[in-house]
Amino acid sequence: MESSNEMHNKIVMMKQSFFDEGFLIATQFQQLELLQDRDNVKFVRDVFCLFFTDTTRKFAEIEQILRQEIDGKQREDMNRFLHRLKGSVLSIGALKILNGVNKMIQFFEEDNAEGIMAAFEQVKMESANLRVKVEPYFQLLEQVGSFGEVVSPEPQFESSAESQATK
Amino acid sequence: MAPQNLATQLTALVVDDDIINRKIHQRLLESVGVQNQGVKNGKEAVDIHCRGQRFDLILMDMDMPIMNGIEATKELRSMGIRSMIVGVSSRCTEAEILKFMEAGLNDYHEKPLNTAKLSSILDNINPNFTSD
Repeated sequence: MESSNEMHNKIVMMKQSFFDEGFLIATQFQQLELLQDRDNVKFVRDVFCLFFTDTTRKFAEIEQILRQEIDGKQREDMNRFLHRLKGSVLSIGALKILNGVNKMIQFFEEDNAEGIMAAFEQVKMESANLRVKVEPYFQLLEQVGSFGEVVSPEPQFESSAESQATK
Repeated sequence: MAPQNLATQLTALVVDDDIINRKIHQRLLESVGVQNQGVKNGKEAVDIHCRGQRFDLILMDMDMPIMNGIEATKELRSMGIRSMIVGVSSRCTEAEILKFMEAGLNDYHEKPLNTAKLSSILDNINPNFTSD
């Protein structure tokens, strides 16, 4: 059984890997951590949970439009969906997903349907990869608890076909 | 960062259709003692003002359904709302920012909003500002 110190070291290393491997922007993650306090102890975890749940819905909206010819109102909607996705990705500092979303926006402005589809696949893949990357970290935080004691783990994220597909 | 006693006198409205951005921006405001509410689009922002509510600060997203940030800002200004309206968006080209500013913004910040950006916004707010 790992000691409390070993668990904490593991947590620190896991978090550092988010930044070293280019998944997350360190300053933005630290900004979210600053917003945690006694009344909002799981704020960062809650934000990431919400992000993964909400992006499933955002992806479905985008997919629906991509099945049609994008013009008129669909074009306006797509523009809005893409920038809304970009906004939430920026807010959690998800760098690899952001790169994909920026490509989607660029291809959208160039009317490059194939490019949008390819970039969209990249965005979905990176979102699933991020979830696989951060989920164990938040689970470990839950295990360690606020006083460093090991407590029984409880499920933190809703199960998703996306996370299953990347395992 | 604005002193706590100044910040606790202020009220803010977060206008953003994205639930994650609303959550983060509202928590940012709460962390510095600014009482705040969130709405999902420009029309809800206009409606809340039509009902008589006023805010020292409005954080306005650009891309929203029903009524976007540009339309909502124009509408609020035409209603005589003189609150500080700060555009907060993922848009980054000069042309897009200029178009948003011309709608009546006092300031614009590119997402993500953070404590440093919020500090600069709050530092510009006069606590004795009177809105009608």
